[in-house]
Amino acid sequence: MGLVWRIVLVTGAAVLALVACSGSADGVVATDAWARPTPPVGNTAALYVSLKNSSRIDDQIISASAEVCQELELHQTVLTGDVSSMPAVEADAMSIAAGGTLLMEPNGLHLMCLGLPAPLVEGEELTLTLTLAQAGDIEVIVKVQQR
Amino acid sequence: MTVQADPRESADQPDQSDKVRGKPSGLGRWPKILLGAVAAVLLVGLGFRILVGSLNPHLYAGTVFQFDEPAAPLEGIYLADGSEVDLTDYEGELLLVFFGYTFCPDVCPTTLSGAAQAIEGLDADTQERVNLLMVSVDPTRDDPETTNRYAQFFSPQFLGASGDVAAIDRAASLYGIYYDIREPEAADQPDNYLVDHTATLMGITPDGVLRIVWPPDISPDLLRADIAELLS
Repeated sequence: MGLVWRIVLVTGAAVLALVACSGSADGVVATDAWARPTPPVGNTAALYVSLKNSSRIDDQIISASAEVCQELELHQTVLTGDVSSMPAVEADAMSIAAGGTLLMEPNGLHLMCLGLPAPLVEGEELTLTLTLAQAGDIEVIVKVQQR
Repeated sequence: MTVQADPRESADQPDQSDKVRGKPSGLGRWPKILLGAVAAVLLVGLGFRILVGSLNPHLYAGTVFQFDEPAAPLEGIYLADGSEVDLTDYEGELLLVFFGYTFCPDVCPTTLSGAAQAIEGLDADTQERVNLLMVSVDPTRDDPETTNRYAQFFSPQFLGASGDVAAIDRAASLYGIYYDIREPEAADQPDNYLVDHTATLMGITPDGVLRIVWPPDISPDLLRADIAELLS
């Protein structure tokens, strides 16, 4: 095989690899993942992550887990007047529309982490695994920071 | 010819003499008028600003009550040092009261860290005159010590307090606080339950009157402006 053909093949492989990469980025991507540092008592935390669905198919969160959380539940804080209640949200009901973003934020949708072995400390990072119906498992780095 | 030319010349004459008269002062007539007008507008504007500033009171972001009854005492609610909460300890200062619980992952940390940010932005003298007391609505899991450690995490200036069910019921009803301890979601984890609760921040002013209430999602900037005004 001539040198020219080798170059063509290598270039082709590189192009294919790039296409494959952009293909995987074309699913659901976490745009902002954070949690507040937590007090020395209580052993709970709220994780906030925004998920952008760049694909053409609706997706939904099936389950979520993080090593530091004994349990991780999707919750929605609801302020009715000034009363805060926190009905658990069925994980399979949590859809991310095609082209849309699922926004988690304080006093709204969040992942409640129960059974923290130690408080979350500013600057720390924890790994969150989200299982999505279409995109499969995605790993998200959650940054602990005061906001 | 001369008869026709004369009126035109006399009509042009005053204009020319005007221009000549304006020259010696260095500035033309129009720049002078313009300068005067700008100065007048600035003066009137300044006067208006001062007038409006003195007439226009601070617009509170919180809901202000129009009564002068002293705030209800928190009987049976204890601080971490074992003493009962005595509201007269805070007279002459602002006391913010918040009902919450330490297992609360979202709304309590959000409100308390927002309050801490609001207070940190005040000048040092005003900061010293602001107190925050968190009263637990979860008597089983939160004793005064636990509640206090939770509150102090957000600011060393904050205090936590708790009491028995009867005392918390009484305090909640006197302060218009709704709370409901929910059933644990899993039977094998009886300690993992949530509490629905009114998550307002209330302000007892230096005269001992419960005078203002802020919603849970009040922004630190608006809260700070209200606190500064209450203590001004």
